[in-house]
Amino acid sequence: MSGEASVELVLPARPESLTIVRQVLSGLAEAGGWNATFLTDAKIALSEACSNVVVHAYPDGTDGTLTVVLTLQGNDLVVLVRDHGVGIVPRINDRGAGLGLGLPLIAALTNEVRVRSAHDGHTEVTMVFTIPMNGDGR
Amino acid sequence: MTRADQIEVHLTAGPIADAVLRRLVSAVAAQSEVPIDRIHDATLIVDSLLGALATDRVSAVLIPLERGIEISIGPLLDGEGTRILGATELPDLGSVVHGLSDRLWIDTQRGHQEYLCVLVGQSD
Repeated sequence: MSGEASVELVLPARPESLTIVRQVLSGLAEAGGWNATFLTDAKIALSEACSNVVVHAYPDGTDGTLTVVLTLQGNDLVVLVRDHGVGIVPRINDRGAGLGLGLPLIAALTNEVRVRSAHDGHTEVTMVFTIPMNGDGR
Repeated sequence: MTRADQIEVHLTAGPIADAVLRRLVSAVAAQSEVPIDRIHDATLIVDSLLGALATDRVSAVLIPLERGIEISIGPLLDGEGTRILGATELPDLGSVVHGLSDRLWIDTQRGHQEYLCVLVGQSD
């Protein structure tokens, strides 16, 4: 695959959606011939970001959505995870607080992570990975 | 009309759509407790529809049902649903999609666009 390609998903913000998101990532890996180590790292980071939405974005039990956009830009995978609820509290540098290992773990597994909270309540987590060529380790 | 449990997907056509949509449909159908042989039918239907699409992007809505899954491909241009179904016909076998689905219809009630809809398994 070359150039830019993308997958956008809008799912219920429920625990069972995490399995679906991971399957979609596996599909991208199958199409792109990614190595297993990279796929595992990307799955962990994506699962953590989605878990934060499921657990924290809709605390009053209302139905809400989880949006995941996976974009292939050359040799990079850019993953955006967005909620439309009250958002999450980003504590990238505070490993002991609130969200547990979630965001620090994401930061450790990605080349770059950005967290943006908008005034309308939604939060976006953007993760950038460099996809190793077959045979490259990480 | 949207449902709280529906899943929307918009993706680039080609190898990505083939690999991703097949896995997506399988996962949603499995969570809906669709029998394994019918999950296989659903993936064959998706493969057949994707092979007949003539666009750069694919959009679909998946609705999990009680032991069933509804798959809507679209929005499509007017008449595209009929063309796609025609393109999935095999000599002597007819339409793969028609043969493997429990219900097949073209929905023109969502705005001014049409959706090719397939039910596999039971409806709610």
